[in-house]
Amino acid sequence: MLLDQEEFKIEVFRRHWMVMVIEFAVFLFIALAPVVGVLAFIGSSNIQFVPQMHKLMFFLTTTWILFVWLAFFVVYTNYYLDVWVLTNRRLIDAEQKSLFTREIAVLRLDNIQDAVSETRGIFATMFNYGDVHVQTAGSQKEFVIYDVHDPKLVRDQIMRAQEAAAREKQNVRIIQD
Amino acid sequence: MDNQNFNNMNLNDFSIGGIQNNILEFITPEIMWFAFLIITGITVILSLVVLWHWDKYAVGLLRKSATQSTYVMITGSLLFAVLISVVLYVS
Repeated sequence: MLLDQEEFKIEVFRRHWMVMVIEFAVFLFIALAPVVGVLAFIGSSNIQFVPQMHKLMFFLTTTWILFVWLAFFVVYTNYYLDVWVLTNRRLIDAEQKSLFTREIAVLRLDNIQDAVSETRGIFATMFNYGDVHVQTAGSQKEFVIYDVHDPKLVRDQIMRAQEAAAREKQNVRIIQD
Repeated sequence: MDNQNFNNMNLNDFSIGGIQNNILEFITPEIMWFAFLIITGITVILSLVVLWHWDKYAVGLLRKSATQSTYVMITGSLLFAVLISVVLYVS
């Protein structure tokens, strides 16, 4: 990510790790539920499976787990490649929507009007993560930083950076006048 | 279905043993190897795509290489497990 001259990074925000833990639990369930279900069915029924059938089930199980793992890693890639960078001039939003779909949006700090933090749900409250909505002047789209750790602190950091950018802009104007 | 036709039917077709035999007869070694080829192809293509994304967009060299090697190790192990299952089935 290229920064302008005299621009420096203040903070990099990512989604909270708890989001990925929840995703991991879901994928673990998806991977193991059918396997455990089939094993329980075989154990509880009187059906006699021929040895060759066991080998076929082993093949289906390993294939299933491999595909669930591949799907999980795609989700993890989307999670990890979502990043928000706050600089002294801009807020940069780089979101990996899906494979081959990456959206990068840039918001100048002097366009920010307000920022609102939001924490929803049991896990988000327990682990202190949530969304930060950054409202802009004009018709630009609303910026949302999703599932970030300590959203109140992030909101304060953004507003402090915005105030500093506004002060700097005012100083430049006074010097020019 | 009249009684005569019903009596002529192979009742084994409806038993679990019959279904198992039908499935095992249908899934020949050639089909298993073809399935393995398809699975390997999908895995390799998807892995290349995902690793390319990491190479291009990930920030932080240490985390990047650690994740990539972990991914390759786990994917390789699972694909090897699939290969073992195919070899067991066809042998």
